[in-house]
Amino acid sequence: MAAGEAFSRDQHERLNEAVAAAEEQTGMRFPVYVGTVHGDVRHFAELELAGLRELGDEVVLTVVAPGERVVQIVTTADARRRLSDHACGLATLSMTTSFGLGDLVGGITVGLRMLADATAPPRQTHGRPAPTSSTSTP
Amino acid sequence: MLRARRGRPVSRPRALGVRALFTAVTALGLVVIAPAAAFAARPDVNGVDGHNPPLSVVSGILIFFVLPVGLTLLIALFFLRPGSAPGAQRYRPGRDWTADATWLGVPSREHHHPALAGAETLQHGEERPADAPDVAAAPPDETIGGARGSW
Repeated sequence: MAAGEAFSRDQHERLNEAVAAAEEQTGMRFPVYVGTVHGDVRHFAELELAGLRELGDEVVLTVVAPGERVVQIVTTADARRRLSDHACGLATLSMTTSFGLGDLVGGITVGLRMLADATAPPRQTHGRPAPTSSTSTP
Repeated sequence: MLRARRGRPVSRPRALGVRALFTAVTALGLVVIAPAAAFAARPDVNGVDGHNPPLSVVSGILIFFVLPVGLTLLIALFFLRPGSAPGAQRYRPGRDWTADATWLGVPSREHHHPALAGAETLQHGEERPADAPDVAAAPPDETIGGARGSW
């Protein structure tokens, strides 16, 4: 049963810009899911992360469940080497602060920016940069 | 449901009705008060001195009733409209979230976990399809990092 869009067009553009900025800054992928989650949010996020492997090896999925008042960030094993769980926790804390005030867009935007800022640069392997997304320079 | 100052729940249609009634009373009050001041300042309102032609009934109604009421209704409609972002659901903590599931940063829905395609769009009160898996049954992956928060 469709009950309407979660975000207006302007809000959608802001969120897409935040995702694109984080991906351009880090070379990793930052998909975001906003919606109802039935069951355990952590397991839901892990299964969805497994379905997003086509995006690359370094994926950071953010699941926001407004109805359940839960936000879950999951990182792939490769992304975890550059983005620590502690940094994810800080971003989560910032996001929940905004969510508690009813600002979903602001919380997601700030959270993505914090995740991107906390991401370490890709490691140099055998004199060559580690493979990242298409935005990385050769 | 909205909350009144004394903690008594007030339904949204009722709150809108109260606001509309307040707007209407204010508008009618202004319609009565504004012409009264004009009449008090002009004892020759009927054109006795010959310089000011008498105001016809139709013109009076248009100027002192239709115009103020129209402007008031226009302003009231501007403020009483459902939301500044048509089609978007505004999130309020503590209330049910019934909007459609939204993905960002994913090219197309084919990238999503196909087994959860039906479950993720379920709304409150809806039954899970028989073929949709229970996400809690999946074993946790220890190599996956991340964090969790609630508000």
